Amino acid sequence: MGSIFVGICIFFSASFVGIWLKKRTLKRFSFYRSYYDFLSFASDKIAYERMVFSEIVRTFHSESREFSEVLSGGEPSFGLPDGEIAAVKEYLSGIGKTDAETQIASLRGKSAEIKALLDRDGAKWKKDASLYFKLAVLLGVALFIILV
Amino acid sequence: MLKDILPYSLYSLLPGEALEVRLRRGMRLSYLTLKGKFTTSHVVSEEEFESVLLTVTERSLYALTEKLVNGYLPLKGGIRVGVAGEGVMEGERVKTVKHVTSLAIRIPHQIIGVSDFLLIDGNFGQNILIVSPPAAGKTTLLRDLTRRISDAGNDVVVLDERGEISGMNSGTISLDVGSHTDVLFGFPKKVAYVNALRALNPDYIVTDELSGEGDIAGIMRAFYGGVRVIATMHGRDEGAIIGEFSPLEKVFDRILVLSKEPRVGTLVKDIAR
Repeated sequence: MGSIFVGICIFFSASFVGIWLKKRTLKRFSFYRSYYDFLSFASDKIAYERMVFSEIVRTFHSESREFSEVLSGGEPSFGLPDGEIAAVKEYLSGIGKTDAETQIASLRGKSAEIKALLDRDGAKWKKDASLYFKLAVLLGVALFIILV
Repeated sequence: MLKDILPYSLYSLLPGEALEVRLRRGMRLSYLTLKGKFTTSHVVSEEEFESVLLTVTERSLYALTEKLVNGYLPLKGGIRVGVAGEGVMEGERVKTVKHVTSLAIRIPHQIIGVSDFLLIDGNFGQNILIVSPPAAGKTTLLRDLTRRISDAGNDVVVLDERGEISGMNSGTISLDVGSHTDVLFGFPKKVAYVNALRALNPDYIVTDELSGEGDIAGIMRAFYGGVRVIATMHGRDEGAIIGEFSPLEKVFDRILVLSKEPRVGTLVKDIAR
């Protein structure tokens, strides 16, 4: 009876780990998607309206809570690899220091770079998210069987 | 005002009475007070310079093309930030400025009573020109004179293209320019003279830093229309009214020449004509 209880606990624990890994991987995709949207939004607003940066940030609607946190200068509540957050922050902190033409070219270049990243790795991240969940559940089932 | 612009590492080095602060990338911080120019031993770091640049441009250098072409950025409270850097040309005209290397922050200075040596009553009735080299106190004297003439009951229109006389920004006048004063802020001079004369019916027109055809035509129009003019211009002495400015010879009844030596605002000549 005790081993069944422990087995059930292990199964659910493994499943929760799977859900956590899935969410984390999907959030990474969502973060970069919002980053890409922001870059496109900013380059359009600067090109056509010369909108000041604070207004761009204020009017941009981010689908990723984590990207909003980084955009407002904070730390995201989930962990992208350290280097990735630092690189995004560094780029964002450099906006507004150049003339319009240079700024727009820079934003469009960065936007193309992030688009390529999403095209290249986005589908893989989504597939990995689902895989992590399935593997964790399978591991839970396997441990349950071994224990019981 | 300054403490909102400068990081503490720079602000803490300045005296409260600084009239102008100069920042150059990698060079020593310097400032101007009524007592003269001073250079600190503090070298302005890249981070400090960038921080000030981001603040004065609201992190939006790209949005300030036109203002940068004019060489300055107007801030709240009449503060003006002169900008030096690399001009980007498009055909014959300067399109914008990039790679900013220097910032000259000028803080408007109000000294109530600085013009008391000029005896003013309700019918002051003079056209006055104030002449001096840059940063010798022209605008401060002009502002105080405006305040007094206005408070004496005269309707005064200030043509304040850059907001330096009145400290106007976003509809708020932050310096005392008198109770009967209207301010035309941000209007190019050419338009401002016409609007003032046509719509505001002034007794006096006040303007800073005469600089070209727009000013000369506008002043002549006011003069012949019976409106008094009080203006400033850059120059060493009364000899500055030469060349394109020579039509103004007959306009001004009085020329005041100021100097920075031995201290800012020293009256060196008071010429009645």
